[in-house]
Amino acid sequence: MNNFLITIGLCLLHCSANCQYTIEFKPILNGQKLFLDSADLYTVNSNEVVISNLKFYAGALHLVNHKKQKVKTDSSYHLIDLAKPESTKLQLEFQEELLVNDFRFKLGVDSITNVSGAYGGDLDPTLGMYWTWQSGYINFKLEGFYATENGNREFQYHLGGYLNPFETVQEIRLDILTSKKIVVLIDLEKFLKSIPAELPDNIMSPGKNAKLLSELLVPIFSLENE
Amino acid sequence: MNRWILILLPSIFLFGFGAAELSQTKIEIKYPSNWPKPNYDFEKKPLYKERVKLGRKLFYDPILSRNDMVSCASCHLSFTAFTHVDHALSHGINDSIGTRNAPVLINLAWNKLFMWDGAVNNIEVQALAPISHASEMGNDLVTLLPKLNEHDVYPALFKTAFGEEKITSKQLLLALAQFQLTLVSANSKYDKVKAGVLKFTEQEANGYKLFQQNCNGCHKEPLFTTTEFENNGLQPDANLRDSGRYQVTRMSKDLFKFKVPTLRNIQYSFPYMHDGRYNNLNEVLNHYRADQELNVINQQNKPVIQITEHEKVDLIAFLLTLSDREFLFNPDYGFPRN
Repeated sequence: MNNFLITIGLCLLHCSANCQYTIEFKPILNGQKLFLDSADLYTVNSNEVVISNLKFYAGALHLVNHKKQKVKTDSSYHLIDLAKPESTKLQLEFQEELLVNDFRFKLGVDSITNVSGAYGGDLDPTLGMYWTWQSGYINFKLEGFYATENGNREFQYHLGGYLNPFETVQEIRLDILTSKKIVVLIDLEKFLKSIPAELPDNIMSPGKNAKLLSELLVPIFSLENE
Repeated sequence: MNRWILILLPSIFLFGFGAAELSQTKIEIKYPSNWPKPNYDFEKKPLYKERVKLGRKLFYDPILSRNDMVSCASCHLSFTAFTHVDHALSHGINDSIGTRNAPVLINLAWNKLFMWDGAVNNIEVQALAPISHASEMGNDLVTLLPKLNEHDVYPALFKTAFGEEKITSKQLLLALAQFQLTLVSANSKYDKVKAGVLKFTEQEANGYKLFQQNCNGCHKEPLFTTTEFENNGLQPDANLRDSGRYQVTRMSKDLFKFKVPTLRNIQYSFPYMHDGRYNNLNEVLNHYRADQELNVINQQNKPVIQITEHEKVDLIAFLLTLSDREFLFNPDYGFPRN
């Protein structure tokens, strides 16, 4: 009984202040924080670039301990929308102090959720992340343009698709956490530079191009101060 | 005294909301005991009378289209097996012509995928396609939902059906799905023969035998479809350039595959095929007959059946036993008059 009380006491003590991880998604371009619709700020391959829209789903958030055991899972999907700064910050709360090493999440919506009917909340089909002509969520949406000598060259990447062999959901693993304040950098310069030149500027349906670009998204996620 | 009224008033409201939820009545679809289990998970998501009623009203209401002119029923008319007869390709808002023949809405609870190419994977999200398609209803949910929320009648109906204050896309889609899930056709002469109530004529019985030998592989009893996708050897239309299931899967094995339609109520659902190219069953059977000239493209996939002209008549006589007038004229499926 005493042990039980001590355990409860410890939990209460721990959870009073420290049992919360905050996760902030921070897109960057040229090493600087990204602002939407900002001209004259960023360049990619010597062209000025303007980003007008960045939205993506983060789901199955979990923290992993040094024994590679999942210690905390948040099964819901979160729509991260740069136009809504509050959506870029998430919190994970605990009942007790945990030794956590890694932070992992799914970039995009898994196939089971994709085939399970109508959802509300962050998965509401009115949020611009659901295709209407073909069932399925857009996992990652990036829109903008390059200002070139010949005028603006627009690009639209609506990456999604849940059917094999073109399933696009990715797992992002960010190892060795040192702080409870997790800042996840998203390096869009790295992504835009890695896109093969022969691909079209508008990729807006599932298929091999969407799959290829989704795979190119994985290495652009990193922890700040890594 | 005034203080008591202030305390009592919210309680009455709370009870009111509780009653709205409690008034929802679970219902079940009826189908013959030898049928397979529906694909839709009714245990997880049961039908409610109030949601079905609401879905039916929405199904017949052109408010879903951008210009208040086109309803679901415009292309899916109950008396004609919930399809659009007389038009090879269905037409929608501003007389736009689509690229496909509106499919029948029959026994949808047994389907895994929807649309001719299976682009829609759950009946709950199916309505998004016609509502948003530029040639069908030309609308979008972001425009439609405020219109419904400000409507004279709908907020109360949604509240009764879902017990929530605000109309959401999820509720709208669920209500439309719930009504369509009730569209069960299982009272044709064929069903009555199977149940031992009626008998086939000699001609129908011969047609049934021919059906089992030649057609049952794809149009499998008792639903008269496997609900899978097949290439039936139709020459692709050069203008429509419709590659069917391939458009969804991007797999070459799915080129020119379309969903096997049910043959139930086939008498009423003309014209036939995904592009409505055949006007009558005679033409359809001629397509499948061996003595017809094979198409230049796509012929290797054509299922060929060998029947005489006389047998063709018998086969059609059997197909007519799949007509279900109780389904076509079911007062629960028609335009809601009150």
